[in-house]
Amino acid sequence: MKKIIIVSLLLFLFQHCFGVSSGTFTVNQWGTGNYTTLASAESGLQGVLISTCYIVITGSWTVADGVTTFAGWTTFSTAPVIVQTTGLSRHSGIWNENAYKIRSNLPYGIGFIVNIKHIYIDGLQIDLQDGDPSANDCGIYELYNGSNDQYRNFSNNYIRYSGSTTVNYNNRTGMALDYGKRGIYKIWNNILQDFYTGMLVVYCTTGSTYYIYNNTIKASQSDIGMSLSAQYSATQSYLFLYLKNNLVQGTTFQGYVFQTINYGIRCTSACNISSDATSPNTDYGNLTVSFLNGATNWLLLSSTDTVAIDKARDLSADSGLSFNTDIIGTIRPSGVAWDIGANEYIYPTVSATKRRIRRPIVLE
Amino acid sequence: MKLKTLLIVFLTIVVAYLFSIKAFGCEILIFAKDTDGINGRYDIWDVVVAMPDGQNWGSEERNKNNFFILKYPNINAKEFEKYLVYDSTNNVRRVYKIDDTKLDVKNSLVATGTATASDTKETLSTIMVKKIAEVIIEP
Repeated sequence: MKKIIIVSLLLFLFQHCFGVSSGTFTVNQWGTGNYTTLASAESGLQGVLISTCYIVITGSWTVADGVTTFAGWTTFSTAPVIVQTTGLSRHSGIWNENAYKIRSNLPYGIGFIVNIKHIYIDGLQIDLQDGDPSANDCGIYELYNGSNDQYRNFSNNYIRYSGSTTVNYNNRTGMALDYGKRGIYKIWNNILQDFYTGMLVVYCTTGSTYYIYNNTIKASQSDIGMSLSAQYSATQSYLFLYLKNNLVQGTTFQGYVFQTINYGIRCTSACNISSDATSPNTDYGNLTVSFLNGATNWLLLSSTDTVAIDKARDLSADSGLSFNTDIIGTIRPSGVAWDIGANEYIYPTVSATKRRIRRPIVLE
Repeated sequence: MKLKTLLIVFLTIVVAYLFSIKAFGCEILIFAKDTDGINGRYDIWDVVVAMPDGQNWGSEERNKNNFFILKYPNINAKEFEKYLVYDSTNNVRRVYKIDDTKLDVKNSLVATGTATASDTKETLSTIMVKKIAEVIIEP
């Protein structure tokens, strides 16, 4: 009894001194939740976590939210921040203006800055529209300079550039990761659309591990799908890279770029499609995927596709990152095997009534 | 007939103009908790977000222990964009803060959590002050 009282008292003091923010909090445009913007939720909840802090975005969103920075939190691997959309606020694998979205139209716009140790981002839409071709823009940008062993989970997000300018060098990025700290990155089921570089891992020297699975990267200008770089030396460690079931299309520079010094990347890869010859996997380069409508960026798989549907590895029991759904929650596999990319094509089911053979009616 | 058409067009323009004035103002959310303000944390009088007039704030945002809501009928939300800058190099959450000594409505804002200020775009720069002292190198 004495112990319980002491623990309760300590917890009370801890909560009031450090502003503990564990629990579930909602963000809703219409004022029916705890907060109306992600930035105000982040500011209000900044603190030391004793268990997971869920920031759940709900309801429809007729306006775009502003850019957000997560910094100044104390998180633990057992007590991360989880930012996720649910219900009407979640996109359906196709860009949805009525779902939650972060939008920036300013030069040097960054949709989501990550400067905390443990964070999961799930189901967000981020839209960049900067018209300045010389300014750096980024969807999710890591700027973390705390202690090592950070965890990052980025899943089911739709990040795009929808402005009208074309850049000629590497300054418009969907996700830019690795800021010189050793961490574990799990990135799956994301769609990255029309960036110069879809995903960028910047000279990793710390021994970080990346699980990059089932992402769809579609480009429309002079671009790179994934740029993964690392350096190894006596004082530096490898980049441990697991690259599976990713789909890169439309790049005119290179689908996959591996830049290493002293063989700094230790890569395990399987079933990664590229529209050019740069796929690390034999038989998966120079392939053209059929989307629902590539021209309008409906980047879900079309029934006519023959190169991504049923061609992926089953990752439901993967030792590094296991999951069994796609970007819209469809259970994988729908057919005989998993599909490559963020989307799992759903085979149409033929109902019993439709299967019945209709005999012609003969009028006597 | 022509005069009637012109009158309708004129009235439409006037109504549209009045609506645009109505949507001109903004409401800003000010961090109300006194912290050390280091390592990326917000500090009291930091502006968190600026939203257009009529924002339906959430329950935590309306809690005056967490935030103050200051209404500016004469200032557009866009004017605050430059004051919402995160200094990533020094991990300072807001480079600018409100100078509360220059806030006429400070007492009612702190007491009730909301207030309306009469400042304009022109006087905004005197209310928002830079937190990090600029280093002046003398010749």
